[in-house]
Amino acid sequence: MIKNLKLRLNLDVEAEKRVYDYLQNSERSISKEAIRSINEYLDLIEERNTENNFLDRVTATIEDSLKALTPLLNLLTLTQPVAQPQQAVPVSEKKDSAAEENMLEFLDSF
Amino acid sequence: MKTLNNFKIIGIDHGYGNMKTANCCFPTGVIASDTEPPFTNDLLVWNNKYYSIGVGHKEFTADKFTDEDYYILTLAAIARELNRERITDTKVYIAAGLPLTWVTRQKEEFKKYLLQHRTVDFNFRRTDYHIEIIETDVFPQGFAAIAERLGEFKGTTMLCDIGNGTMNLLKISDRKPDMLNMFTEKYGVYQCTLAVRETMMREHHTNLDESIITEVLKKGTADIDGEYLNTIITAAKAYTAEILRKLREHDYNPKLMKLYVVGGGGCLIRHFGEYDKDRVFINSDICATAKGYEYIAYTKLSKNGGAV
Repeated sequence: MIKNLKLRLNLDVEAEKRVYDYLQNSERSISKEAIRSINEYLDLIEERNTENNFLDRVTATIEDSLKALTPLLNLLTLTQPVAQPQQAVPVSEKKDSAAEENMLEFLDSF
Repeated sequence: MKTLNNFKIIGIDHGYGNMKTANCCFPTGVIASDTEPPFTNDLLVWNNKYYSIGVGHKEFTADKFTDEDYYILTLAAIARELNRERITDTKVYIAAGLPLTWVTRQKEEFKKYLLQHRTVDFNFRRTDYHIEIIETDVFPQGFAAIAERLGEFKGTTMLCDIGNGTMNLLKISDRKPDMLNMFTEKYGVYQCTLAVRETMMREHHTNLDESIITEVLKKGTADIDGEYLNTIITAAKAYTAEILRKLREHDYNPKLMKLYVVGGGGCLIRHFGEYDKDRVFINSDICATAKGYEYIAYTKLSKNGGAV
C-alpha cells in the first residue's frame, strides 16, 4: 500500500527553510531522503533511551556500592583524618547558584 | 520534556490562543462530538467522546478551568511531547502556569483541575496512551521564560510577557524579581485583533478575516490592498502605543531600564512599536515559557532528590 503525504514548508521560518534546503540539495529523491532522515532520528532516540537506561543502572550500582562502603570510610576517617582540599567553585557557577536561589525565593512567595 | 527518576516533567503553557510545550505549539480550539468526525487529523478520544483538537481558537475566559477544554488540550499536549520520544505509557509531572498576579489566588484550583484523574487512558492521533499524572505544579507566566537566565539580568529590567489575552509585567533589579512590582493587564494579541477589526469595519465597512489580521500582526505585512494594509498597520501601531503607555504607567522608564519582551505578542512591539533596539530585547521563542516551567520544576524537584 502506498500513501501520499503533502509537506508544507514556510521558507520564512528558519527551521523549515533548513529542511527545504536540505531536501533540495539531497542526491536522493525527497521521499527517500525524508524516510532515511526520520528513521535515523527515531533510531537515535531509541539509542539515547537505551544509553540513558544503562547510565541510570550504572549510577544506581555505584550509589549502592558507596552506601555499603560508608561505615568503612567513616572508620578510616576517624583513625586517619585527612584534610579535604576545598574545591574551587568557578565564579560563574557561584553567580548561577545565587540566581537560582533568587528564583526559588521568588517562587516561594506565591 | 525532562526525565527525572522514573517520571517525565512536561511543561505546558495553557495560552488563550495557543497551547505550547517545550517543542510543540497548536491552537486552543476543541470541538467535542459523540461520533467520530471525518477528516480530522488531530483527533483525541477519551471517555467515549471524540475531540477535534486545534480547530479554531478558544473563546477568551478569565478562568481557564470552567470547562473540560483545557483538560483535553492538556492531554493532547502531553501526547505530542511523549510521541516525540515514542513513549505511550509513563508517569507524568505537569509543570504549568498562570498569569503573574493570579497564581496565588488560582493555583490550587488549577492544580486540582489538572489532577482530576490520576490515571488517564486516551487515544491521540490513533495511538493509545496510558499515563499516570503523579503531581503538578503551577508557576508564574512570563517569569518562567527567563528563569534559567535570571543570572544575566544585571541592572534593572522590565520583563513584559504579552500573550493572547493578558500582559504580565515584572520588574527585575539586579537579578532579583521584585514582588512589589508585578502586574497583570488584560492586554494582548486578541484585544489588538479586535481593535484592528473594529477600525476596518468603521473605516472600510469590511469584516476582515482573522487569519489576515494575524498575518499582518505576525509579519508586519500581508499581500492585500495597500489602503487596507495601512489601516491595519495604523490600528496595530495605536494598540502597541497603548501597550507601551501601560508599561510606563507601571514605572517603565526606557532611559533607566531595559525591556525584555516574551510571548507571542512580542511581534507587536517588533513591527509596530517605537523603541530603542539596544535596550529592548524581544524573545521570539513562543515555547520559552513552557521550557521555563520544565526548568523550574526540574530545579525544584532535583533539590529534593526528585521526590514528588
